[in-house]
Amino acid sequence: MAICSVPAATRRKLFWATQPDACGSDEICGADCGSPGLSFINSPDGKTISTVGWLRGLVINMLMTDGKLTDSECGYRPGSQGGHWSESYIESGPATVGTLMRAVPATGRINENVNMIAAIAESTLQRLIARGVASKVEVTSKYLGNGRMQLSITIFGRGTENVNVGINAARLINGWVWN
Amino acid sequence: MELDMTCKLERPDPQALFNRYLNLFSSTVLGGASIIPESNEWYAASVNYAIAEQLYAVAEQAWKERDPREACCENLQELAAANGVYPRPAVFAQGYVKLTGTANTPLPSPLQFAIGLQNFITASVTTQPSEIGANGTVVIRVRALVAGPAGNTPGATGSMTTVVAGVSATVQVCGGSFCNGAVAEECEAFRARYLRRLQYNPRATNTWIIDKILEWPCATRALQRAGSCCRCADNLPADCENCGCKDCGGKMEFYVMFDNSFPCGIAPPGVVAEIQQWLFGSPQGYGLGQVEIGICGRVFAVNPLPIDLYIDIADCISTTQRTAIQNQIREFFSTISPSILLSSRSIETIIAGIVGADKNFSSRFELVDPLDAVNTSLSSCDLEPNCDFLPCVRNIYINQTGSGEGVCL
Repeated sequence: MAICSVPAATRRKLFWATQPDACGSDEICGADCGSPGLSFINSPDGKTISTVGWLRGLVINMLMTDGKLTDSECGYRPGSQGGHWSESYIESGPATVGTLMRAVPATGRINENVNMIAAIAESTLQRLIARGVASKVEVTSKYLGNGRMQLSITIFGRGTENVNVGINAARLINGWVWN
Repeated sequence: MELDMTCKLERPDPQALFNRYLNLFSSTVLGGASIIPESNEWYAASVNYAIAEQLYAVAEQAWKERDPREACCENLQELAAANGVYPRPAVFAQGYVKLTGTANTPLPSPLQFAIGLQNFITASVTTQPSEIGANGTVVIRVRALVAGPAGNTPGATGSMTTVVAGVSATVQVCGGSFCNGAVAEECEAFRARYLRRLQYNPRATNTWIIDKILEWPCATRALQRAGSCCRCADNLPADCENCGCKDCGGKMEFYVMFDNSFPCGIAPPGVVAEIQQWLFGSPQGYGLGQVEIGICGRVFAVNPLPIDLYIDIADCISTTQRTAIQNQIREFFSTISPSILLSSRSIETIIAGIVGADKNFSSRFELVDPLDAVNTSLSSCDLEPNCDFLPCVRNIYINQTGSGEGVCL
């Protein structure tokens, strides 16, 4: 289900709690387009907003943010060291954000690269356990040939929610391209 | 009571402010759920915190910009300009040159000179000597045409570019240099000068002395001696009221009142003498007291002038109004100065404020001791105490019979 367009008249912005088809769906030009909105959950504790997909968003944030590289005597160009200034305000648990898996150089044996990237990704996602939002993290890697690799990630939530995330990368001459 | 010296401009600890925005976001958006680092909520709250931090920084900087110690140069100049202080512009070097020539040769004005790489001109057209002196020389004050320090040391000799028959073109720079040439005052030099000016608090002013007197334990008022103690400064005959300049303004003469310690606020002469010695030293003028060297003055003891006050109100007033009248009049007497004219109009203004101006009332003063008549001039409805006497109210009689007892004669 996809969000094809947001009606301008409502001036309503998409929020991370927005569900793509909370308000139904329509077929537009052959595509199944959802009407976005908030999904409400009625529980004995009261009414709340559904946050399905929240954990997936958190995993993508973690894996799409470059972690902070170790300090160098020669320094870095502004904005190229990685990390985010807000990590210094984390008071409990690992005081770091992002992952260093994109810092793996595109040199050497490609299988070693793939294994290293998977290890770094798994290490990064262990923070979900430390922060109490996941009970288990599984990361598997696969070399697809022609310089391409795939990471398959499964996050076991604290409840019944499990999240699967897949990430592909291709190694070119000078580095990895991620999508 | 302990003085609260807490700075009112809040600047929270960064972590506390960050947590405040995390909690705000959690309570208003997430229903109290905790915010996990790296989540969208975390980054949204981080941005809120960053904006708040910027606002605090702007507020703090704006606060500092009102302080001449920390203001940027542009704002410093505006602050100083409000007090009439401005950066000094560049100054033209000035000095003296000696001309030689035939005695009594007339000189045009202005004269122009080239000395070293600098050009100079007669500094004052009106005061330039009009001819060479009888001894064949004349000294001219000149100034550089370009401001700055370069004009201070152009060289020991130069030439007069204005051609005057009978006068040598070669001139001699008196002393070999000129003076006062300077660049425009720069920001930090101007800041230092302005701060010195703000911090300068001359101790020979009446305001400073009055503030100093009030540091004396239990002193409640310090007053400059005036009123009936003043005399005509230019010795005009008789009527001092027609005299524009009285001799009180230039004198360091004061009274000290202790309204909460002594009846009528009048301290015993011994207390006053002690304050005078503390303030002006003994002997005076040698810097042995609080005031600067060379400053002399006196603190005068005040003499009480007991009076009764008669008020006649023809209309009916309440007990509360009666009490209010008495209280406000006694409060008024705790504010008046010695040697100053006291008018019954002042009393009636107080009464009008309580019972209304439409009521029919009058008031008059009466000396408690008739022998005090020599210490005052009681005319019509006014009481003018002699020098160093202070009217001191003893009884306030309020009569509602309309008998005219309060009417002054």
